[in-house]
Amino acid sequence: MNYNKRGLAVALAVAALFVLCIAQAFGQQGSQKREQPAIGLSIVLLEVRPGPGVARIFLLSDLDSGLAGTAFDTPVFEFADEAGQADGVLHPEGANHTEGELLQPALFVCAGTHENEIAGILAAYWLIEKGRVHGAKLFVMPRANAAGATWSLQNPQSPRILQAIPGISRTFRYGARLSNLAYETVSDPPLFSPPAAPAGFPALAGQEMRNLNREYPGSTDSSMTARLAFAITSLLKKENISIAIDLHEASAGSNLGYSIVTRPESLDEAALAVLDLEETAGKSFRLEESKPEFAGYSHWEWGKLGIHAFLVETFNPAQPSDDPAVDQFNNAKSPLAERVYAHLWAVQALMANAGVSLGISVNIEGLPASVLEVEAWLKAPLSGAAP
Amino acid sequence: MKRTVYFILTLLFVLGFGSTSAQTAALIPPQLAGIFEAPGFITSAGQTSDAAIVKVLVNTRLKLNFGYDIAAKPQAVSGAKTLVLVLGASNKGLGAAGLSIEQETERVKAVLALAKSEHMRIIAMHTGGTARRGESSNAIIALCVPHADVAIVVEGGNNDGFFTDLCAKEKVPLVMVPSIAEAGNVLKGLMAK
Repeated sequence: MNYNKRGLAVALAVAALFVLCIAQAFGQQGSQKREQPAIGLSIVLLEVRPGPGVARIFLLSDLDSGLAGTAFDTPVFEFADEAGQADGVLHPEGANHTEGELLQPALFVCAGTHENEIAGILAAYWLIEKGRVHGAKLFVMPRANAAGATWSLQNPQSPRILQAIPGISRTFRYGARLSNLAYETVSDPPLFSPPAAPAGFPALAGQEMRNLNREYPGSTDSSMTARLAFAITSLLKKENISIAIDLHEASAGSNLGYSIVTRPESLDEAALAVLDLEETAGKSFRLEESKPEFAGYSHWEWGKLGIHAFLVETFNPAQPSDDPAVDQFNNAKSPLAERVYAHLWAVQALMANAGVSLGISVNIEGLPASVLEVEAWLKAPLSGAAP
Repeated sequence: MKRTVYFILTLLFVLGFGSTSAQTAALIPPQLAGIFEAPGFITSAGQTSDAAIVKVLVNTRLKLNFGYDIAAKPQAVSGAKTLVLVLGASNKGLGAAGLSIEQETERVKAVLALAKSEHMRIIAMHTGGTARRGESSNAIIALCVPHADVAIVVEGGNNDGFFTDLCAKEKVPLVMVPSIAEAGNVLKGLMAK
């Protein structure tokens, strides 16, 4: 498909989805007492303009209709392989494929698992607007837990809004780590154990039930957050994802800022990515090997499907309290543009090195050449008409 | 003066640093260049996952084909001529290996004893920056560095001069490098061709 035709198709699809979501939101007014959810697609399309690399947009509810019309539904942006049909990769058994089957390579970038970890979300937006992928298909989910983007620690009714230059720059929702309790179907339990936790795993605080990154592989018979995890797992299986990256941020206290976490079998790929990132991003990422205590985490559970899965963390100076006094854009220690830049190059480094292990050559074009380029992007108004 | 420096660097390069760049060659103490012999072996001292980064740097990028075990016992190291100890205590790493810091310290002591008994040369490497400079890390660094023939430290890990003071006290040559990649280049320059 050439870009003009693809662009037209994407625009029509987006328009249809947008109208559908708005109609759903309005259609449900009056039928339920509580406030209607802000649909994930409308949140995302108010903040980002899909670029020429995007071939298709669909909703996660396409994988699980139980998410349709809820605050947990969210869009997925599919990028076609610009190099054409890439050579296949041999998959291990585990998803909806059989061991040794040759499949077209497919990659997944997940952001917004925690909606207060804003740099990952904006890195996903950069990819959606400017990215193109060679050597594989790519799926980008910029706001994985859209229900977390409907509130903030400061206000249970609404998220904070970030804007680099008041009244001029594009705006972004800064949400919360957990799903909004108002849109959950079950109350927080006193204590919560991740569904995949090994025997003897210490129970977590009950509110962690609304932490998407403790709910994998998910289920359809507990919370909406668990259902969301189930739908994401279904997407990975359906699309035969080979490499998956979950973008996060950490507080100073967690000691995870600027780190890559992965399962033992992907440790060498992550280590090579760390070396690449010294050169490309000018950042020294730390490497952490995960273990069974990471039950319920995205990368840990995705790895069980044979996926090369990674968790990337940058340092958010406003965490853990999401302190609104912290200027995300101009923070001296960890400015937002620097974190977005680091995330983007981490995606490139991990895709490239995991790709080598899989025998495929993956390259993402359109990445920023400098932190300044990201800074200018953040400060600019949102350009282009809404779909 | 500048010309003299360039001439010396070029001469050093031509005389035996092989593929080592002039910039890297300038970092290597001349008496140590090319005296470390294969086979080499990499292990951690403190279970830092930085050891995994050093492993891919040395083996995948630099093709030096060192043995590797992040939690090697002495018998695994036996037979090597060069031992690389990657320094830094990691609670996560210790947990993954099922070791307490006390047990890890005993393992490192046993590896050092074996290395000494087999007359291995020892390279102490610290690549983890300030994150690997807590109390436990400092203790394990202080345990290992006195036994080393050279210490290679990525700059951020010596912001407080800890390595500078320790290496001066123990008379261990200290090579400060700006990046992990450069630490690898220095290590390669230390190895016999």
